[in-house]
Amino acid sequence: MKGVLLARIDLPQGTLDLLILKTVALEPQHGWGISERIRQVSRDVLQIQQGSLYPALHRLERQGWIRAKWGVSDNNRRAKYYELTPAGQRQLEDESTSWRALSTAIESILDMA
Amino acid sequence: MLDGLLYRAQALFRRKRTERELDAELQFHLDKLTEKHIDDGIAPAEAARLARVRLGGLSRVKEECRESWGFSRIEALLGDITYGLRNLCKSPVFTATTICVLALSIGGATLFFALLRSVVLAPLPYRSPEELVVLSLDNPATSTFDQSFTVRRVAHTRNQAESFSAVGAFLKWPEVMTISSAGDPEALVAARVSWNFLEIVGTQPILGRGFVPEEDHPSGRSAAILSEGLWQRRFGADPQVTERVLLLDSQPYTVVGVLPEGLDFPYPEVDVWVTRPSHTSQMPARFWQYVMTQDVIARLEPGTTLAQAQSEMDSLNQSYVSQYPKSMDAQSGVTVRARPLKARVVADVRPVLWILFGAVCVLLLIACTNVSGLVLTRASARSHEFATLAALGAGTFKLVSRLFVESATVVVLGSGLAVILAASMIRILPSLHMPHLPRSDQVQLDGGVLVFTAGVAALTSLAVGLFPALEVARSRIASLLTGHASSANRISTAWGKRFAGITRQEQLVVGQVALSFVLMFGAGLLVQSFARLQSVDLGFNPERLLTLKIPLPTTSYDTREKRSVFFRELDRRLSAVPGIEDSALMRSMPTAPALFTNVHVVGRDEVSEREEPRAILQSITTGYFATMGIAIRRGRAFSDPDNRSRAPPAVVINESFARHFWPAYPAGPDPVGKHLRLAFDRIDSAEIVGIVEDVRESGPAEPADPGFYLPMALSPPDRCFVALRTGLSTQAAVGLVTEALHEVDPTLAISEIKMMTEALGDVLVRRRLATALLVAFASLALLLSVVGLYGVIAQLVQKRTPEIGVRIALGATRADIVRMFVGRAVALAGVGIVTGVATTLALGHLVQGFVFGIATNNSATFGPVISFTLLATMAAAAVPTWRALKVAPATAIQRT
Repeated sequence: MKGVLLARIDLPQGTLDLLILKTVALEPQHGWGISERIRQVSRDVLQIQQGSLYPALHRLERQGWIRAKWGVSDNNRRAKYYELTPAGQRQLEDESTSWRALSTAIESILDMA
Repeated sequence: MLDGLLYRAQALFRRKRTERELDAELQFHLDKLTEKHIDDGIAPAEAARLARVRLGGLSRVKEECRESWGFSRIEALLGDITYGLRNLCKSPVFTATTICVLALSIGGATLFFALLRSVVLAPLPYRSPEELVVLSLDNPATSTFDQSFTVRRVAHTRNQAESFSAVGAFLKWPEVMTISSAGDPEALVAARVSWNFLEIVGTQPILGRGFVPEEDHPSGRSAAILSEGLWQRRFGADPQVTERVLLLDSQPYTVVGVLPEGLDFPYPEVDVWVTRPSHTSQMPARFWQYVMTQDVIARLEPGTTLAQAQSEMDSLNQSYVSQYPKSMDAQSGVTVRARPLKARVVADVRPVLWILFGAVCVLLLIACTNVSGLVLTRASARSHEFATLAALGAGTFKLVSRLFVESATVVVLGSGLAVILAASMIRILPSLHMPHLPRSDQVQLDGGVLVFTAGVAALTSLAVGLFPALEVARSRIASLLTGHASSANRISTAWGKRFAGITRQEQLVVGQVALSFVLMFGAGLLVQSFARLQSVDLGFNPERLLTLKIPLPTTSYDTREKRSVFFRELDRRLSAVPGIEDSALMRSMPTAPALFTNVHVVGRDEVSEREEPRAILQSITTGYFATMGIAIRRGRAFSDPDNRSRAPPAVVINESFARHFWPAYPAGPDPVGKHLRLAFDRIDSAEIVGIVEDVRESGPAEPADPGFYLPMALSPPDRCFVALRTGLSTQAAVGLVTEALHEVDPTLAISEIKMMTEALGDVLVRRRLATALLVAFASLALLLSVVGLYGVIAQLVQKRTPEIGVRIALGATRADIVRMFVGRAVALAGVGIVTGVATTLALGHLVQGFVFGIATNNSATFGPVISFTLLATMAAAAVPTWRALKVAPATAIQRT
């Protein structure tokens, strides 16, 4: 099963970080919540490969872009919540800008008559 | 960077908690996922299983998370080290061999680096030592170098030179002075220096003061400064020693100060310093002003460079030569050379140490190559292990780091042992008594040396660790790319390579053979030149020859008559001593400095005294030639009537002298019967009565100089050497001589007691040491290359065992098979030898100065070294081949 993609669309390299940062920017969220949110918002198009979510979260935490806090979930269970740090905020803005620039550029090429 | 470290450190401490948190976090996710599956209508058990599958393997996710914590790398390293250690323990022979090889070679490099650093590179222990320069005279026209100044030239330089803040002089050789106060007479090593020498080197006395200018003046008071050692030994460290008056050579000297140990100026192991550098006891006072005995030391004016000083010396030299054209040190073509004091101190040892350091570095290179090859061989034998690791998900990085860490562990262990080895060698160094290795007592394993060792260890780790690891990774990637990972396929690729060219291991072996060839060739050169030196005909027989020195105080022996009487009396008594077979007195002893004086053949064109040729003057008693075993070629030796002050002067010359003045000798006109004028002893006409064979006065490495002999009575020196051939022990013989001496004069002391063989050994000691070390290095190098070759051939044989079976089954003889493998080994060694020959031809000039009597590219050395290498190669290849042949063909084929 190794290497099988459960997402409908392959996530381009580096976009997972962007999506995580954006998701936790709205409100502190645990890992499960993040993956559900991304799936819902993208209407099931983007589905994060579950195995790579947690290593990514831990990596972002170490880079200081998000920080973790233990909280209580909706059904009263302890869960680890991630929230954006100021450094993460800046990183998110940078990445969003460059992602937008890239997608605009690609779109305009695809739109060539 | 620091934050990162802090984070990792914290993470390491919080390890347990972090792990628990990770478990909880992932469990939460799994629970949520399971809940969702149940909501979708899946049975709970199946839902839980699906959840785990979707997460993609719990342990794998955890491992990836841990990796992002950062401390996993430290942990992985620790893991790799433990793993490596366990692995190394599994093959103790391999481990012990590599650790020993590395310890020896890194230890050798460390030791020689420490020696170079302390002996050659470290600054001298004087104030601003870089400002100290020595001046000497060269005359390329007459091939004389490193000559000393006359008193007049010293004064000229001192008065005119502006590059120097101070100019001082010292007598070029140490003198022996007999102290006859404060205890028994004792012979001391004395240095004659100008009054300002302490000011120039910048050392303070630990007691009293330095000299003052009046003490340098002939009419001033005679002053002496004691060494700390003498002060403690003979005066019990008496603080009241200053202003005491001592009798040195029966003359009163006032002690003015005591100097600390380790000054080593102007030569090592001086007991007492006195002033008036030109007043040598080796020559009558009337020569003091005119002979070249003054070595010059000067301190550069701050801000003046050596080059500026040199150019000023060049112009001063011209003014001196034109001002004093008759001076002995103003011959046409003479130049002045200014060089740093240190260059002079280390001039003799520097090339030896660099050669040995170079050799030990080559050895280290061979050791690296060798160990690298061993690691590679082991790695390919462990391909199963690596395949398993890869199957378990280890990446290339993991494989490389694991192999690297394993080799680096060996290197670290080896380096630790190396430092211990080097430290213990350095500790015993002073007890080896190497008078020819200056500053050997100051060698130490300090921070700088340890940094060097650490650097060497790091480079070695890269060479023996990273290279094989990358090699393994490369072949693994290659096999992954071709889509075949089975060991069978890997062997077939290796087969392909074997026929295509040479493998990596074989390349390494070729390198080893080439490098060890260079070392063996160097060792061969030194061994040959040493053998030549030992077989050199010295012109006399040094066996059982005991020599000693008796200095005569100039005060009580102030006339030639007094000295002549003393020598005759001593000679007479010595010849009567039972147990002494032969004895003779002489002015100078082979291996000790000889006296060169002017000679003129009566009847030839007169030249100015300054331009007269010089030859060694040796004054002897009549038993000299018999005692020394010097053969008479023509004419006769001296007889008793010759050795009287009023006898008609007779002189005996050596063959070099004869050839120099009668170039057709031994043909042509007979020198015997001709007359010489000898200015030194004011002899207008001395008849040549005999010709003797040449004696190498300066030891076997130096050619014999023209020399002549005069009876002791005609040219009585201020001190004499005694030579005796005796079967008695040194102690017994010295006792007898002392007894005879004290019958003549009880105030005299004996010094410099040596067996002639020992004195000759001292001359060669540095050469002997260098030769022995280079031979040891070369043997080790050869051993390593042979082991390397053996390994490669053994591996080759192992891989081709099935093929051997087939070949034998098809009718090949064992000899054919042996030839096949030995041929491969010889081919490899051949490439190595060719490379080695090319290298030695290119580098030969580096050891030229150290080789005696042979060219550095001579076939007499190449031949044996090449055949020896080839023989060793064949032996190394034949052993594994024969072993393989013992296997029955059927078994061999089944082994596939």
